[in-house]
Formats: sequence, C-alpha cells, structure tokens
Amino acid sequence: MMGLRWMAGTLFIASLAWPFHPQPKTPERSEPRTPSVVYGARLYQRACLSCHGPRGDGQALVLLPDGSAAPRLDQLSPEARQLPHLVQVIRQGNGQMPGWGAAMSSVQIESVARYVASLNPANPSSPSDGHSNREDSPKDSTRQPTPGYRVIATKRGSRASGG
Amino acid sequence: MDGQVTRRGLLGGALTLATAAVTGKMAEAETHWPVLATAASLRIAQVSDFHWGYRGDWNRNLSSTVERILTAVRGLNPAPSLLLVTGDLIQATSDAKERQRRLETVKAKLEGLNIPWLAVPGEHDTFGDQGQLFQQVIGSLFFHRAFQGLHMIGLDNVSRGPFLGNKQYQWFRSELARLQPTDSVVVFSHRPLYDVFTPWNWYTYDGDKVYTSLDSFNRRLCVFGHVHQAMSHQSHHTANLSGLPASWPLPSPGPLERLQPWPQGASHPDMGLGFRVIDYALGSFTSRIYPLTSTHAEVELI
Repeated sequence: MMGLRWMAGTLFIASLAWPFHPQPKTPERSEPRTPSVVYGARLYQRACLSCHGPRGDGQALVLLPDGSAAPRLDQLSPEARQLPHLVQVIRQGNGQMPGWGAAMSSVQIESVARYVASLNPANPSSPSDGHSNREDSPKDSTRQPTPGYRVIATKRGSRASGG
Repeated sequence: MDGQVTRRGLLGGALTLATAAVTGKMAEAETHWPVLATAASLRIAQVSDFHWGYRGDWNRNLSSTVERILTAVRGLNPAPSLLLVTGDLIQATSDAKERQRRLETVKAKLEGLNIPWLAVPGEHDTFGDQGQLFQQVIGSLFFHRAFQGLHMIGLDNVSRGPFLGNKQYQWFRSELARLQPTDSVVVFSHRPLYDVFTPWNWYTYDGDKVYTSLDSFNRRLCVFGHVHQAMSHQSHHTANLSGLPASWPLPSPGPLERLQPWPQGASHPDMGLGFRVIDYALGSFTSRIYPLTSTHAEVELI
C-alpha cells in the first residue's frame, strides 16, 4: 500500500515537471504566397550563387563539370531581362542551366526571376561615365553585355567543378 | 535418458541458441522466417569520385590510384558483401563516345571485383545528356534494392540539377511507404542531402524532404560522395557519411572563397585518398575510413 502511494506521488510530481521541459522546436519558415524580389534574393543565395556568383556577375565559386563558368546575370540584354523570358529559362533550364521547375514552385521561380531582373538596371551606366561603382577594369572583355542566356561560359583555367 | 530433458542439455541448448542468434547463424538457417531475414552483420564498402579519364595535376596517375583502391577493397577481411559507388565514376566530357567508353571501363573494373555493387550518378557522369548514357551502361539513376534485409535507396541529385525534383521525391515517398518503421534504410546519393556548404554546391536543394520522410525509421543512414573528403555529421537526427575520394582531395569549406583543388604532392601523392567501410551489426552502423596512406583503418562510431 505504501509502495503504491510512493509511486502515485512520483507520477504526480513527474506530471507537474513535464510542461517545464519543452523540447526545442525549430521555427518553421512559411513560404510567401506572392513572388517578391526579397524572396528571390533568398532563393538566389541557395540555388544560383555558386555558379553565377554572389553578385550575379559571373564570378562563380564553382565551375561546371566541363570547366566552364555560368554566364553573368547583371548585364542581360533588354529582351533577356524581361520577366516572362527569365521565368521560362529558370523553369525549363537552358544548356547546362538546370530546369528549376522540377523543384521550385511558380512563386519561387518568379521571385528568382524578379531578383535577377533587379540585378540589371533599367538604364545601365557605362563604366566610363564616371558613375559606375564597379571595381573592374573597363577593358575586361568579360564585361560585355550578355545578349541572352545562351551566351555561356568561357573556359577558365583548371578550376574545380564542384567535385 | 532418451527423450528426457536434463539440466545440462537444457543449458547447452540455450547456449547454442544464444550463440547462433548473436553470430547470425540462426538467420542463415531460418531464412524463410521473415523476422530473421536481416543478416546479423553486413559489411559495405563505399568508393567514390573516380573521375576516370581525368588527366592533370590534381592526380597525375589516376588509373593507378583507382586500381590500388579497388585492390584494397578486394583484400578486405572480412570481405564486403556490397560495394556502394557514390558518383562521379568518370570525368565529364562532351564527347558522347568517350563518355560511354569511360563508363564501360569503370563498369568492367567494378564487375571484376566479384562483389555486388550499386552506383548512383555524379554530375560528371550525367554531363551533356542528363544521365542517358549512365542509364544505358550502369543502370537506373535512382532505385531501391533490398539487400540482405537492408533497404538500399539510391537517389539522383545531379542529372537535372542539385535537387531530387518533385517526381523523384514522390517515388521516394512511395517506396518508403511500403516499408516498416523497424526496417533499416540506407539512402545514398552523390551530393550530400543536407547543406554542407551551399556556395560550393555541396547540398541538395530539396534534401530536407528526404530527412522528413525518413523520420519514422529508427535505423537510417545517409551516404554521399562529391565533397572529396571524409565527413561524418548528424543532420536532421540522421547520420550522414561521406567517403574518401579515389581521385583527389578537396579543401574543407571555409578558408577559400572559390573551390579549388591543389596539385598532387610529390612527397604525399595519396594524401586524402581512400575508401570507407560501413559495418552493420545488430541494428547499428559502425564506420571505418581506409586512407591509402595508412595500413590501419580509422574507426568512427556513428
């Protein structure tokens, strides 16, 4: 009888202590329902940065398997920077560019497209007009405007391609 | 005495049964009994990132390195029951004929080991054709095989991009739905399923979903290649292991902005090269790294 009382008392104390030790819970990040540049920037960091560079200027951190680099995204032609065109390329892929439609939602794809479009100023200033804040030399041949996404990649030495 | 149960006989029988259960003899003898279908112990060797066909300073004699690693795997005692190849069997080439030649060469070498093997593609294997030649020469890009009670699930997170994609993920879920929570599952892929270092593409975009689906399985393990170095990491409450490469090592993420290997050293040409062995016994996994530079394995408990 005494043993039962002890057991009941122990269970009672344990039940009191239970709520004071909650398990840590990872906050869930909800997906935005509408496309935005901000969301696109976040997605770009995860999905695009390694190949197109942190600033979209083609300064890749990883080369493609054949040793080439993905194109820069900050000097697209007026046609290539149009949102429908960017959405199509991101969704379906092009050349070595993956078709992200297999893994991203429409909102995500359009968000990335908006972010990429935002990398291209409406009236890009030329490096020689004194208003450019770029550190690169104007003579850098890779700084030519990219007429479209099909212009891919120059061979670049023997850098790694991601393993 | 015939037909009588003596104390000595009872103790002897119990001892025999206990020994048989521990050593797995019972499982072998009673294979028709589903509960005991899982082998008591199983040895898996993992080799990765051969990059067959590469010529350059990162490994100046790659074919020799690969041969020595395969020879070492063949010489393991106890011998492995299964060989896992976690991608990049070949170095990427835009020449389809050469790509096929390289894949066939590696396949012949693997067949020569006389060990059952399973291979998932790396981005170099699927370069140029999204894995069509890999499927022709090596096999499916993703698959599920039951091997002595272990469920081996190979995933493709390279052929269309650094992701599984919705279709493959649905297939993965449907395969898991056929299993019991008590089953042991090994998921292997080329890229890591968790974020090792996204700026270097050392991740799988939708890898989180894989871990969520695996949550209900108590005995699970993820194995990957791609990073060209041994890693052992708990992510999403799941053990993740990468194998040593058979080609060249890569630096750890952090100090370098751009991913770049270093030329093979003349004094330590085998630095960072080798393979991994995973032993499965009594429902748990133990892992050992076998560097080419050492005659002794380095043990990891996972």
